[in-house]
Amino acid sequence: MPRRFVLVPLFFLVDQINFSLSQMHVMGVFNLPESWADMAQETLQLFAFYGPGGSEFEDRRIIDMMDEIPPITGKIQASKFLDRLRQLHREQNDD
Amino acid sequence: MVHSLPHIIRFFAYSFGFTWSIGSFSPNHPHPQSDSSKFPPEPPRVLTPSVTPRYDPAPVEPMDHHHSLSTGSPLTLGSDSAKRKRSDGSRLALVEMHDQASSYMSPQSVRAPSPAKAQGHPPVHPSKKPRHTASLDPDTEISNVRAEPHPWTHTYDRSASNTNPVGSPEPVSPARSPDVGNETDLDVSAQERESDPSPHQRQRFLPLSPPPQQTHLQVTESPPKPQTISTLPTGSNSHTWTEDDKNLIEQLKWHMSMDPGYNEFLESRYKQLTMHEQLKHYTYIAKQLEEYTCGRTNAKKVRTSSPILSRGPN
Repeated sequence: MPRRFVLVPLFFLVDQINFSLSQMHVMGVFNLPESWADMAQETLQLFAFYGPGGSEFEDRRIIDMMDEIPPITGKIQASKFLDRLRQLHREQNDD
Repeated sequence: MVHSLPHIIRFFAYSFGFTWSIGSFSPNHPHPQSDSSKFPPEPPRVLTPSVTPRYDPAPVEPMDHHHSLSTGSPLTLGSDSAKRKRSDGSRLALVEMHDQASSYMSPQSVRAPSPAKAQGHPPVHPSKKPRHTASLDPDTEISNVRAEPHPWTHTYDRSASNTNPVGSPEPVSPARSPDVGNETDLDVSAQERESDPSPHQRQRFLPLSPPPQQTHLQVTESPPKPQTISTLPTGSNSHTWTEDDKNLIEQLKWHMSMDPGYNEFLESRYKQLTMHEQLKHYTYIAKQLEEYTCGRTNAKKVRTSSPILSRGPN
């Protein structure tokens, strides 16, 4: 029986090689900084509180910003969206 | 080979430029060997038309001075017939002179012969002429090259030979002109000459204390930078990617490319997205982070650095 060489991707040998796969590597695949992942996770958590059908309450301005076309860039719009969520969360905690 | 004496004499005569017929040919005593058939035929002469027209004035009759003086009439030259002939002749002479002048004024005749041609030298092609001789036409070209002296320079040359007149600009020497590129070199050499004293003076200017020695090196070498991979993503600037990281990212990319959400994310990444679409991207990234990092033993746990989330809503 002839020997058959099968190319096995290195990814399936990660556990055996004992690589430490971190957030840095995942974001490196998307060519994005790690801060982008932090911002995305924070936005998703706050949106779960104050977005449509949120666990705390629904903020009308957040819902309006959902379908608003960004005037300049999507990054600026995302920053404004996150600032609005942080402000709501701060106001909620202060009360 | 036997030569006769006349042949030898004729040979020497030809060699000295004489012809046999000179001095010996006469119609009364023809030389027996002066037959033209024995001499080589002369080359045919080229008859060039003469430029000057022939002037054949009418014959002038002698003046009759006595008749003109005795009658008291104004001074006339000759009789009527003679006068008519003379006038015709003078008119003819005028016409011929006009033709001659017009022939002289033609461009071929106006162009003056070159000095080399006048001296008998063969004409030289203008491209082969040396340059210094091309501008040495004594009458025409030098007078054209010479420019009228400027009035200021004229007065400067006459009034003061070595001093600069008051109010006139100083003549610029070629070494001091701003266009000369060696100005700095000249100045530097002059300064060096001024500042460089003679050995005797140099001994006087020796410093009393030795010059301060250089204690430390001014130029410090920059430390060697770690090896970076240029093909890696530039988004995370705080990381220095190693070869292991590079291999791991390549494997992750290969595996994520199987997911259709990855290509969709890459396609719509640089578009102007609304927050609704942006949240989809956030969800996808969070899902990938949860899948590839939190579920593994050796992986670093992904956590947010926001201090607000640590408190949580009330």
